[in-house]
Amino acid sequence: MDDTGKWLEQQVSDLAKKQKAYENRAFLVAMQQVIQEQNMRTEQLKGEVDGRLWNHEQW
Amino acid sequence: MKTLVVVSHPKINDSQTQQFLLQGAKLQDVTWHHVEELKEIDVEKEQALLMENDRIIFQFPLYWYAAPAGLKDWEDQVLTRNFVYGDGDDNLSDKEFGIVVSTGMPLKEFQRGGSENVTIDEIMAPYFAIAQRGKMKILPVFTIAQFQYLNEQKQMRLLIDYQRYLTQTYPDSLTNRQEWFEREFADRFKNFDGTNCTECETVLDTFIQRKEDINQLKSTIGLIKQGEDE
Repeated sequence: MDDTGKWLEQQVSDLAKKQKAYENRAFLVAMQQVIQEQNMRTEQLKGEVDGRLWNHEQW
Repeated sequence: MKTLVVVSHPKINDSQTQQFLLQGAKLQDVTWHHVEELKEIDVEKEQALLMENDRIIFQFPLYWYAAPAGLKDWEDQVLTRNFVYGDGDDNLSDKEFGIVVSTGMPLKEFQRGGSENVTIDEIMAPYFAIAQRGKMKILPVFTIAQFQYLNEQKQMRLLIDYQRYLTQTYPDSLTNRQEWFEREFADRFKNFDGTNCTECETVLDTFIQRKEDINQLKSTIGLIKQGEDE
């Protein structure tokens, strides 16, 4: 995973821990899950770009 | 987008699930409308309320594979033939229709071979039929099974999933989820503890940047695929 993705997830996770209000905590925990999803999708898409660019049938 | 939640529960104050959802529904552009609290059903007023909203949700506990009697009574009075489809007036067409249903049984029992041996979608068929008749767009059912057994983490997840069900653009894709969190984060961060606006704005900007990076990668793949086809 790239550094920006890791940093963002950590920021939101830290922020969630600081929340006294239940709803704010719930919101940030859920947002952290979307960031994890973003990170995974980014990795997968980068992999797909690499895979397609190195497709020998297209050489 | 405006959302109307038509709630039916004969003892709503005693229901932990409904009280939990009520807290979640306190959102801008969401109207909580409890039918058992209405002293009388003013048909015109109720129909106007339906027309004002873009997403209509029926919310209730499952009583003998159906909604409580209060909702049926409301339906029979408010959803008149002329209002729903008669005389060429499609008053509900292009609105979205969803159901939030709670049950004391585990979700896994609502399938062929489960102890209920019937699916939630099958049970909800009459409501889907109404929505279809009104040319509404049907959303997947939001089922809450055994609320009282959910731990704190799962309840927190439920709260936000419910809020997204009420207000997030359909369908529930990563793109739409990102947009929802982006909008809500911008609205909510002023109330966060232990942070300042600058910090939150940096988080928000980075989140948006990550979303745009994904779009960029998708478009790159699109171009490569186009090249492969040629």
